[in-house]
Amino acid sequence: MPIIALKIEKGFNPLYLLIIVFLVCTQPAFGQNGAISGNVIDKTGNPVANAHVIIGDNKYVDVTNTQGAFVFTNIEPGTYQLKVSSIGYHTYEQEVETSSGTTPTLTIQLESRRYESPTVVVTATRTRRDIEDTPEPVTVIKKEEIRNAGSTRLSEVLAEQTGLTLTSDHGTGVQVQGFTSDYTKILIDGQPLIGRTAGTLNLDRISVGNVKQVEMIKGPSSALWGSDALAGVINIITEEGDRPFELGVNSRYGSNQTVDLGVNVSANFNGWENNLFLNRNSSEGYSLVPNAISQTVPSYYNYTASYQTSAQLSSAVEFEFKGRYYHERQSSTDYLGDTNNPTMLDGNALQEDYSLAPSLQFNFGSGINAEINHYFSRYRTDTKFHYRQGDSLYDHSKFDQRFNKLEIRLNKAWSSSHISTAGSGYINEQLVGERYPSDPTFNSYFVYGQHEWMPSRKWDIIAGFRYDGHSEYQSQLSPKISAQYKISEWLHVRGSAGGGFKAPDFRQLFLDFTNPTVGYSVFGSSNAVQRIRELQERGQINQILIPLSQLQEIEAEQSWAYNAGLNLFPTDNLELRFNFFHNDVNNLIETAPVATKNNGQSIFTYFNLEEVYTRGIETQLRWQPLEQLELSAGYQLLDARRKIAGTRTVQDGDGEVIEETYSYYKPMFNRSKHTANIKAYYFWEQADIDANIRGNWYGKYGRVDTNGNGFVNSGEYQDGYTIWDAAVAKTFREQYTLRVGIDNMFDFTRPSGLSYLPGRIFYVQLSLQLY
Amino acid sequence: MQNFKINLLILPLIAASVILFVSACSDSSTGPGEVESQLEVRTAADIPANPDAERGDPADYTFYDLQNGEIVADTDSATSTWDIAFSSTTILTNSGTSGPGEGGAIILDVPFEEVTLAPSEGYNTDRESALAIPTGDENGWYNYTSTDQNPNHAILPIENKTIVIRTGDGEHYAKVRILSYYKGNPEITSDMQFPPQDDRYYTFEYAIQLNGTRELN
Repeated sequence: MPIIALKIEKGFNPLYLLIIVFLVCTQPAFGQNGAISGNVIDKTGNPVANAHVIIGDNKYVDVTNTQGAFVFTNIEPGTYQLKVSSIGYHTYEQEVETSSGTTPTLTIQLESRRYESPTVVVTATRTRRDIEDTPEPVTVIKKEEIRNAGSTRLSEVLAEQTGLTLTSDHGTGVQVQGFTSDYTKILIDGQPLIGRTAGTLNLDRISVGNVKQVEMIKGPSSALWGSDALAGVINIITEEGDRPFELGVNSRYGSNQTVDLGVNVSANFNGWENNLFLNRNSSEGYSLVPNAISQTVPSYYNYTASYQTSAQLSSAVEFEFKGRYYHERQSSTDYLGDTNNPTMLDGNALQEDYSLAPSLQFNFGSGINAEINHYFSRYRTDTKFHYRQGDSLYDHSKFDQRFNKLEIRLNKAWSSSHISTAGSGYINEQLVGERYPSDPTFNSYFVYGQHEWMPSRKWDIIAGFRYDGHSEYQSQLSPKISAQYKISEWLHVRGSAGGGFKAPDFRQLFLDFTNPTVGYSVFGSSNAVQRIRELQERGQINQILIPLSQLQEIEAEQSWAYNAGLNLFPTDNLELRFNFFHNDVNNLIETAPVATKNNGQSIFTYFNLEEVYTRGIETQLRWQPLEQLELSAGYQLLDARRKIAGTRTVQDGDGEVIEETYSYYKPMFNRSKHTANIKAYYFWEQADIDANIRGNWYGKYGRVDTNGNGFVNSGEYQDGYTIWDAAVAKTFREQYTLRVGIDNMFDFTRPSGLSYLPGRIFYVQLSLQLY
Repeated sequence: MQNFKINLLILPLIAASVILFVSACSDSSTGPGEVESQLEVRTAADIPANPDAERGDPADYTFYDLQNGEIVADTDSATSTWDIAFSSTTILTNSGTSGPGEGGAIILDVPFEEVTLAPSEGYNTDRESALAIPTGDENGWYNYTSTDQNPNHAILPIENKTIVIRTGDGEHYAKVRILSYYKGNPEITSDMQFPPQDDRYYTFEYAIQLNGTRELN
């Protein structure tokens, strides 16, 4: 039967049938034709799967299997152009000759596009997928990009990404699509990092010395990842060794006496894999305000240790364990009273977190695999302030949070075009802290399901949902649907719609705080009624502003978002991506007064009050004009507005007082409407030298609400700014790399609001791959 | 032709009656047509509002007479000569629980320039439960920036708020715009440190109609 190696089982496209019929009719009789087979490998010799192998202008087409192999039979004798292409690699071309009876075997080595992200991602679907095949807008930052920029902490990596803006509020956070850092979930290998202060999860806590890649989904992803994934998800994938034994040492010294030392060890004993990463990071801190008593960022040191091990217990069962430990001490100087005659305080702050994550993975065959995992994490802080004179204690505060999660997940591949995922889990959280005298506990459970359907090789459709039930607030259902259509090789379109939510946090539910100097109180939604009743019985309440019977449990903050994207690959060395986004958010939680006390001060509690929308366009261009040169540019247009509604007292035509209701959407503070970045990487292969320059521009943004109306007026903008970074590196014997760089070349600083920018930083970095 | 003559006679009659009617109307409806406006627009600078008090000290008010544009001695606090009084962020009117006068206030969400007529009624008076000009962040005349806005810990007047005051004698109306809570009415910048040494000094602009009407323009 004369038939070529077409993978027809994957698609229902009738065109294939037509081609086959045509080929069947036109092929000469069996036996006269030749065959070609071969393997496609990358630079390191690993197989490249899913590479397209084309012979003679689409006459014969095959796709490599997981071993990188392809085979063509029944090829008419002749000379053909053979073309091999795969995303992330340069297209390979050569001439092949076939004659009847011969079977040339080829080994084709593809050269990777140096700064390209080929890449398999897991964050979009919880299964390993090629980034170009996922309908979700996923961004991947690869290890090479992190190394080239000389970055050591996650915050530095994210600062250079299109559409992301760092923020300073009790730590360095990140703004995604205009949302503050409270609304982005941070994961390490798919497990949530806990420990937020005032909503910010400090990104400086995360070392990137053992990172394989950082995956990012912008837009609500609660359908897979649950609470907090309202603006997006950032998943840090750690690296695992490939060779039997690996040892790498990395050291970096920079301005402000910032020292970073890291060691990566991995060992594989007959399938028992071990990966260990140790890191120490320290800095003397810096002051942006001259002669200020307190440093802008105080001195600190921290340690990170992370360990991963896995072993195949049987042919069907694999065990894995991941553990992480982080410890930081910060020393600061503070004062009481006024600056001319200050009472000096010495501060010492401890931050510690650790996590343990064992898991079992089962492969039952016939397309079914399962995972069961447990995740335990604890985050605690301990902050002390002593009087410098006399050394007596001024203040001591502690915070201790524990998080337990048990999850089971099932994947079933019904066929190559239908894949289902289902999962369920249970979460228990506990908190101990001075401001939470009730030692609150959370319990929640979740169920999720997802189905992926690929009706043809051009289509990919995913639909899913997640249901989160909770002991303290209303349950949430988060659906999501997304689809991608590859119109042609060079044009892909995709769209998605989905919901996200952020659960009320401990503070919003359980806070019990009375300001010792001013005397106002803030109570969480769960204990407000009880606490106000207690105060009422003691005769401390002057007036109830909102009847207690009308106080309702607060609900989760919710968003609904649409994303639409267009990816263009006009030539081999050019790609252009557009993503349009629109997020509607409601039920945002705000404080409002509920009663007044006899001392004239108010009692506040939390309400679902605010409505916000953010929308915009993100574009990304990558262009490799020369073999040695790659350019990239990104731009985001952002329109973030909050609803301002209420009544105001105005006058009618006769001057008499009337109440008028109003409602409109107004720009929010601390968000640049325009942000952009540009990067140029140059690689001089012969000398093994690479160099890069990166610029990040942030347009003007609203900074000071001088009139207190809650939104940005024309006089309240601060000028935009640009940060330029550059680095150059020389690699010796492909093992040792010496890198020197300057961050923030033109020494831009702005103490108000941009305290995470330390001014110009020089650094030297030495990376040694010893084994 | 007769008709035409009649018309000729009637026209001036109609014109005269229209003129009479219009002038009669304006006489009866608007006071200021007769009474000349005596609007005084003034700025009171750096009125101390208990600046030396420590936290927890009792309120010590500075009483102000808008009609004469001067501070009233504390000894006259039980009279109706004063119109408003200041102590830190609290502003009293000479009414209800605060004084013997017939004063009161309405806070309008209207820019100062656009308030051309004082309302005839609806004036709030100071009561035990609430003052005519409420205290607190965002409640009355100011916004406290706390730590969520820059500059931190600043007391900033809310823009486009105009306080219409009925004076202590109950006879006059004035509109007031608070300009600053800090001595010298400094320009506020985001990197300023608050509270500065010299807070609790009011600078405000006001327009008072001395002819007894509600005209404020």
